[in-house]
Amino acid sequence: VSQNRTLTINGEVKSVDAPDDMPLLWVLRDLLGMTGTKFGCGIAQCGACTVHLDGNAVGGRAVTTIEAVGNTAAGARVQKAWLELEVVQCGYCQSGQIMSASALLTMTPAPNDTDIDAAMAGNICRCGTYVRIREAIKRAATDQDAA
Amino acid sequence: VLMGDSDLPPIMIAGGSNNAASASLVVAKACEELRDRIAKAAVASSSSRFHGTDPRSLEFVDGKLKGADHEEALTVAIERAGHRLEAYAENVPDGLPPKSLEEMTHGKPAMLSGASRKDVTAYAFGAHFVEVGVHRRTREVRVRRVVSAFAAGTIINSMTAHSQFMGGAIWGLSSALHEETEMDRQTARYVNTNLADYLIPVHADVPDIEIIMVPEKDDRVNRLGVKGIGEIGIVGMNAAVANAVFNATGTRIRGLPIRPEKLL
Repeated sequence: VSQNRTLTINGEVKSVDAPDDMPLLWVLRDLLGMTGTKFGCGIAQCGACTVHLDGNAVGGRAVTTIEAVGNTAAGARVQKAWLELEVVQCGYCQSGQIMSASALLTMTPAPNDTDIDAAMAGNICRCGTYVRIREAIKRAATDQDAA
Repeated sequence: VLMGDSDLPPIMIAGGSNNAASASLVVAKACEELRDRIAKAAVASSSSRFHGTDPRSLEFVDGKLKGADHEEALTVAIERAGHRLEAYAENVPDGLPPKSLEEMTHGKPAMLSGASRKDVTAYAFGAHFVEVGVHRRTREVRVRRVVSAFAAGTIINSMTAHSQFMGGAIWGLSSALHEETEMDRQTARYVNTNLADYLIPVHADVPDIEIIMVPEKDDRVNRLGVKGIGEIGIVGMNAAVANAVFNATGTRIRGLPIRPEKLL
């Protein structure tokens, strides 16, 4: 059954007409055209579809996607470090990697390798960018200059 | 730079570690022709400070055209050479028949391998060093440390080359210890054809990896000394891991991946 509902996405209130069982990824990509969040495995095993969910928002859930994560302090530092180290190879998993890395830095401002491996366990990368991801997260953690 | 449009001229397939050498040699030819035209226009024009000098003495440095005692912005020099410059270049590497280019436009790309030429062999070189730990009870293999070294001629972009080598090393670890396409023999179908079921490493499976790029100048492979590095990062890693496992356990494993049940 399709139902009109309201979602707060990247600070904007969006109205979507979505079936009850439509996954958020479909809403983002197919209904709202926000294709920065990727479809990988379809069952939350690879992490390409990672977004942030803020349960505290009033009147529904507030979603932050890769399109707006750069507006957060941690997200901006992560994106800057990613570019400086040219972490990306093919890029497909990187939206998810950046979302998980930003969430990690928000919770744990100075993570060690074990923290990183644990927090990033749900994001797989087929190109093998793991070593640079760890390096970039540490660089982002110590970056004082970024906005 | 435009790529990936069928309106553009044909280029070699992305395979066989041949793209860097194929593209860079022909791009270099086109750039050299443009450079010659800009330099010739600079020395021919009577209003130019380079007038009458030897065009071969002019250099292109940091967006400038530079002579012995004068330099100017390249935008000025390009304007003098005709405002809009186009060059067309073709390159057939030594060892391939001249008709290779024509055949490529008909979907028959000819590829040069390291052993194609009579006079020299033209391979890239690499070696992997791996330290593993094998759990005493569960026999799980964990890679603790990897050092990989490569000599592959002229490196065009050291940052992306470093990443390519490292990605190859990680793919090698993955095929040594994790990956396998699992066949259901009753139905003759692969059962793990997706990113959820197919086992590849996560962050915690990949240790610190040190990539050493050994400088190598090879003037004979081609005039730029460029060799392909697409695949060499993975080559040899299975053997390095299997040797490390043998060193740790005394057991020779000859089937991949090396999963715990093979070491019990």
